[in-house]
Amino acid sequence: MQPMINVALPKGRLGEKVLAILESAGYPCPAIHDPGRRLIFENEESGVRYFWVKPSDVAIYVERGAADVGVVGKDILLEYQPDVYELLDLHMGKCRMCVAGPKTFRDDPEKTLRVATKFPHIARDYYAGRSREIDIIKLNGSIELAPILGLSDVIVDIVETGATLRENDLDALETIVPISARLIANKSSYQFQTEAIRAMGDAVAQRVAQREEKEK
Amino acid sequence: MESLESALRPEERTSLRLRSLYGRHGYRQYKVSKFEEYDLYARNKRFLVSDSVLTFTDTDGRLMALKPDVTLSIIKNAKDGEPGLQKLCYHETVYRPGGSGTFREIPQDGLECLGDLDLYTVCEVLMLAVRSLEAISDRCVLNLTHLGLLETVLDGLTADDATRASILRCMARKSRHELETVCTGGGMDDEGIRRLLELTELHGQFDTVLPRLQSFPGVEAYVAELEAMADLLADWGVADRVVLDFSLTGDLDYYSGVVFQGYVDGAPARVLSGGRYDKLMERLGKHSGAIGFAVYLDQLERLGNATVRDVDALLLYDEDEDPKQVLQAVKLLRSNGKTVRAQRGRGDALACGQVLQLKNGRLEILATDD
Repeated sequence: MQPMINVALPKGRLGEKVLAILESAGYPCPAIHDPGRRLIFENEESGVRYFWVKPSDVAIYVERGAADVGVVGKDILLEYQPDVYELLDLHMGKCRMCVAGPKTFRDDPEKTLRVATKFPHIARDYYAGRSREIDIIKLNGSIELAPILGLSDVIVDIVETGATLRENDLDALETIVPISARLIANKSSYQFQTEAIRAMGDAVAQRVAQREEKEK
Repeated sequence: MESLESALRPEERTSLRLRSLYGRHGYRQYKVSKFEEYDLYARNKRFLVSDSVLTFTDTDGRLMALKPDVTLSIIKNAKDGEPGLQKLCYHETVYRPGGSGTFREIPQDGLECLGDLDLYTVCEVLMLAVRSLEAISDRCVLNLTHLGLLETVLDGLTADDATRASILRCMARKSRHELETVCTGGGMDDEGIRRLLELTELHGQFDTVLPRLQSFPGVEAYVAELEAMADLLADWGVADRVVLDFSLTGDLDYYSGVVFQGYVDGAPARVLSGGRYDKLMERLGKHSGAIGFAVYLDQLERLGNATVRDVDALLLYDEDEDPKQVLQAVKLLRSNGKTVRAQRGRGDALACGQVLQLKNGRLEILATDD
């Protein structure tokens, strides 16, 4: 019997889209569509075992080998730098990692810049590359509040449409890096299931390309 | 010996086998101190797996470190310029941050070969790396790359240092899409980019990968070296375990020649890492070549049989039981080759093969999982 590929899917809209692509790429799993309390869904015939996890946890599941492959945002990969292979850009869940702040913001280089963010590594790397001294304020949510209440000068956060920023008189000031979903693989699993993981990557890449072609 | 081995944890058992393996090939046991002056690591931070080092101030005011690495200490103390080879192996504990960011003690076995290295010596080390993996599991793979070949391909791209660093990071992740982004628009030759992308995706045994390198310009000598290695490793009977993978990179300021990493099925990360580090020797003022590897024994804790018994037989007795009768019962069970724990009352929850009660000198089986 062929070993199953364990796939960690991110809960939410992005995960549903990724599942649709995987299923159309030859990895269907009828059990995952049955409502219930099961946590793991498998289809021996197509050789896959799916499970839903919190999007920010996908990289941990894959790095630690609980999943052979997974789908995760580039933001998580940049922030936590897991030791995994990043096999494919799925061109889904596209957004930008930005520096945002009040529309009237002017950076005063004589002062330490106060940066509120959920992504301290990304913010630190970005400003270190510019030799700018910063004070990181690590927050876990409602980042946009920080500059409005004077907790920080700017924020480093994910911007999708910019609507939340605009509603709060904030603006995306600089783009740090574009973000999208990536197919990642555990390095050890890749050694022992090389052909199966590569075949999955190729099939998904083909589907993604077809989808992009349709959207043009 | 077999029964003694069964008392050991998987990582201890592997460690014993590795020491025996290295000893059989003439590697001499080498013991280094737990502590080193921090300066040694500060000057060579990028050689370390993590740049976080556990430090303390010694009684004479020197800043010391609990060693995060063994290789640097061995090189520092190695005799330089002597003819022949120094073949050393070690069983040491290193101190590095774990996944949670806090420091951990990591048991490590490994070997280093210093001196005038030739093809045989390099292949012997590669063979020992494969045999080390085989000592852990039948399902194992040694990934191998040649940094000389990689550098030649990179040199052909005329990329600046920052771009080269980005390219190496993308290669290490097998991230073809990002590699294309980094290379495109950098004024690099299209053919050079195509070769780099092909190199990143190459992953296979010698006989499938080496023919595909024939079309790469300037790498003929490295391909010939890899072919010679393949031949010798086949004679050792280990070539099938070796997978050429050029996404495996190393710091080009320290490593040169072959770099390799070992995986065993069931362990989520590499369990072995090594390479040829002549450039590190040079940085530390030594004039010879060097190659070595380390086996990370902490990765082996969870390998193997998951259902382990605490004891084969749990012998329970009451307080009025004659101690001589207890002793006789223990002897009887032991004579059947069982591990026995005798106690009054069940106490801790134990995983036992059998639970027996001794009552007035008579044994009664209360439960058994056989």
